Amino acid sequence: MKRKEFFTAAGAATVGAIGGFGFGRAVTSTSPASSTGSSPITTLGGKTLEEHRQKYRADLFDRFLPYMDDTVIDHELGGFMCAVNIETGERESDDKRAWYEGRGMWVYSFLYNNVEADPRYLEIARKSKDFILPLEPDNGAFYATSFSRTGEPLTGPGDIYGNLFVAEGLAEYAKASGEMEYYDKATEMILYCFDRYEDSSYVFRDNMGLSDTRVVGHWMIFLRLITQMLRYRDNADLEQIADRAIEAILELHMDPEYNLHNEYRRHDYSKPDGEYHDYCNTGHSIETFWMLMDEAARRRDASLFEAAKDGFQRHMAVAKDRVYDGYFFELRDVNDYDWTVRKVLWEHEEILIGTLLIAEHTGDTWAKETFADLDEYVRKTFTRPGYRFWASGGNRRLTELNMVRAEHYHHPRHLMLNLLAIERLIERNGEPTGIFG
Amino acid sequence: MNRKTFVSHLKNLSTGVVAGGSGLHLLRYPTEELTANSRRDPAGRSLPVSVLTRIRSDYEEELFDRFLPAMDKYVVDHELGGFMCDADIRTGERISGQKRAWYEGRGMWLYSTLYHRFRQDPKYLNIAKTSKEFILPHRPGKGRFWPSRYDRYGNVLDEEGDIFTNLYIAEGLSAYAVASGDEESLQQAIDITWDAFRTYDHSEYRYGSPAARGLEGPRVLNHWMVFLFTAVQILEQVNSPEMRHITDRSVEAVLSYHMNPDYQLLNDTLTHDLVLPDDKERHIASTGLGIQTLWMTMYEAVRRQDSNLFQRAADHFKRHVTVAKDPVYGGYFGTLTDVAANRWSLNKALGVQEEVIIGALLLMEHAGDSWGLDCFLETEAYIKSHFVKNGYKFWISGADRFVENYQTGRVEHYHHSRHLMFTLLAMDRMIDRSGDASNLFGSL
Repeated sequence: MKRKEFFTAAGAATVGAIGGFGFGRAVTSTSPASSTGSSPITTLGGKTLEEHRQKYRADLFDRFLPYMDDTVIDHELGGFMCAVNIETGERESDDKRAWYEGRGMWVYSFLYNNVEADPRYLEIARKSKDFILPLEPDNGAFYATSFSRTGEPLTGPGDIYGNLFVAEGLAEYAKASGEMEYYDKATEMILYCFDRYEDSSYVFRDNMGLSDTRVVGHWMIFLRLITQMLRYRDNADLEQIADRAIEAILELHMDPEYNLHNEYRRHDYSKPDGEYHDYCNTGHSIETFWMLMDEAARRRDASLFEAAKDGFQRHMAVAKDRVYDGYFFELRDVNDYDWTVRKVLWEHEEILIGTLLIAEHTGDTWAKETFADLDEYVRKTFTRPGYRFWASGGNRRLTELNMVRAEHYHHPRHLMLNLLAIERLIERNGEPTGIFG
Repeated sequence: MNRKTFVSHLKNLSTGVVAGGSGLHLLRYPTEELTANSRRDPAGRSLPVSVLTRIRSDYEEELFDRFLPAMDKYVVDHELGGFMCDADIRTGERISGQKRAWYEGRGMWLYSTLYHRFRQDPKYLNIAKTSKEFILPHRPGKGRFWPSRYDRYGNVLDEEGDIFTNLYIAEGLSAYAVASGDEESLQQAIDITWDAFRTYDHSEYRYGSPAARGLEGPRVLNHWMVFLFTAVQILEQVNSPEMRHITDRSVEAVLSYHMNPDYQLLNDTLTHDLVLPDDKERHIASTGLGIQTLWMTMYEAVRRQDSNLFQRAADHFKRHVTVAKDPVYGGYFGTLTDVAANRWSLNKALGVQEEVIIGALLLMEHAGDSWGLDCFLETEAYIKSHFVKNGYKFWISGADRFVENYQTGRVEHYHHSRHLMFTLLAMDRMIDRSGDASNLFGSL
């Protein structure tokens, strides 16, 4: 049996046990995880799996969602107003953003699909969809960056991410509601964005001094959307884009000299001149590599999983703040070793997702230990007693926090994905999936 | 690069075992030969005797077949005594006949230690002796320092020396004393060290480093470091109350005052009252000096058989090595010039890498420490792949971050030879114990 055939067969045999892997609901194991050979995971950092489960549920249902309900969600007009003081919950602006509508729509749809099928969640997602879809420009431009509460554009066209996040939200909403026209709309938006991105004159942001751009962050979002959509329904066009993304992530953005990503490359993948020549967004790369690991799980591709895991670990090792702990997200110049030393919550949460993902599949000791240590660090540094939301970022030591912004995407995604991973582990009595042998 | 080559590319790049990643891939000694060290630590590992023997053999070859013959041919002044270190490391060609007080003391130490600890070849002792005879006539009065530079014949070229001229000469004399049995040299070593310490301990003392400039009676990490190691070596020979005082003061200064309580790294310079100066440009953490100072503190703990001191120094040593790691290109940086901004001086000194080796060996030898073992193997491989060039007469002593542009005009004959000799001695002891840890401190 060839390697590919083996993985297909193995995947088919275990699909019931692992819920098609991915980040779906825990499904009762129909066969023991006999392929792992690793010992069961009973605790992570001194906490039992059940304790982790309770922790995630409390974070999600007792804190995050009620505060979102109170302060962020526009129950009347639909949408999300994220400019909220994280301590008091006081709203500092009613503005809405295309990014945040797509992200919020995804969060509430995913919640409904995978964690709790409460119609209130679907309604929140639906209202966001109804708010943002009519605002799509009809001239081929990307969504405006921000809108007033009632939907008047406050800016000109924004960037590609606005459209992509809306597409992600729509795809997940379609799964939740069964209204497949939104799945088709999401597909159409992705293909349109990809066409724009493929144009040799495509420039990400005009003010960066780049004449044409390939961006790791773009591949990351394309890939993530497609992984989720292909789990639901085959699509040859999307599969092709995923293949392109994998090649870009593993090869074309990777600097062979120092084995880190260059966030920006020119259209032909040569390195840009100027300040972005050796720029590495370690945060994006770490996030991208866990998404690639998840795509590898979807494909049951062990070598892809290994490559993604290596990239994940490499970028983590470099991004580590060895003095104060935590991780830096931006190496402005690799060779000058010039870091932005502020810390962002999202990067840490992406690491928590990635390490738990590795642990779930392989039982890897490094992943378990890193997950446990970082979970403790994040809860100690990015949160404050009595605050409504976790801080989205702060200074290097997190003694000064970003006070205005309810982070409603990376944070709940990490809570939900890890809750589901923990639940799957509990279902399998702590056994790793072993899907990669 | 296809996916397969990408994976292998990543695997060939050390992602930092010591700093928490994974990847013992460039090691020169096969890791599958690592064995569980059940006697010390069920989770720990040690090297089997066969591997220890191979490492020993490699180091012996470097010391006796390459380094010493090259020193003999290009650096040692067999006619007039002393060391002429200004030579091209690629060809051995001498750049100048100048000699330096630092290098005389260091060279005297090297050849005396070689004679005492390895081979009682009169040639070695004679090289040390003629260096002593070259430099001692320039001994200054109390409270003053040796001139720093001389021509080949001993004419002073630079009157202004620093405290290290005296200290390295004292260290050299101390080693010469133990090699030759010359008690006068030992007393000279004690007197010179004690006099330098009293000078340093006075508020009128001045030092010209960027962090210490302008401070009255600055406290400087590398001063404590050299005082400590010089005094420790004297104490290995004679119970001197002055030297005990120096080691006590040095250990206390390093661990209780230079160790920054906020970020747990050693600050380079403090005020005379052992307080971190207010001005932020002086808030430098010296990881290279810190690593060196901390292995010396472990060494002193071994002499004292003080397990608490060993453990404290070991923990700090590990932290400094971890923080100093260059996670992108491997190796270790020496100076964190701005701790808050995470700004490093990016050059790489061979000495820093070699001091890591010595400390890691102390951890392996006395604590059976797995971290120390990984650190030793990784650092050893890094040094060999970066600082050693085929056909060169000497190793590279200092370079840029990538070890692509490097100094070629100086032969480093102190840190390098010390690391070779200390590694050989540690290997011998470990081989004698069949690879087991010394058990000196019981279970740490």
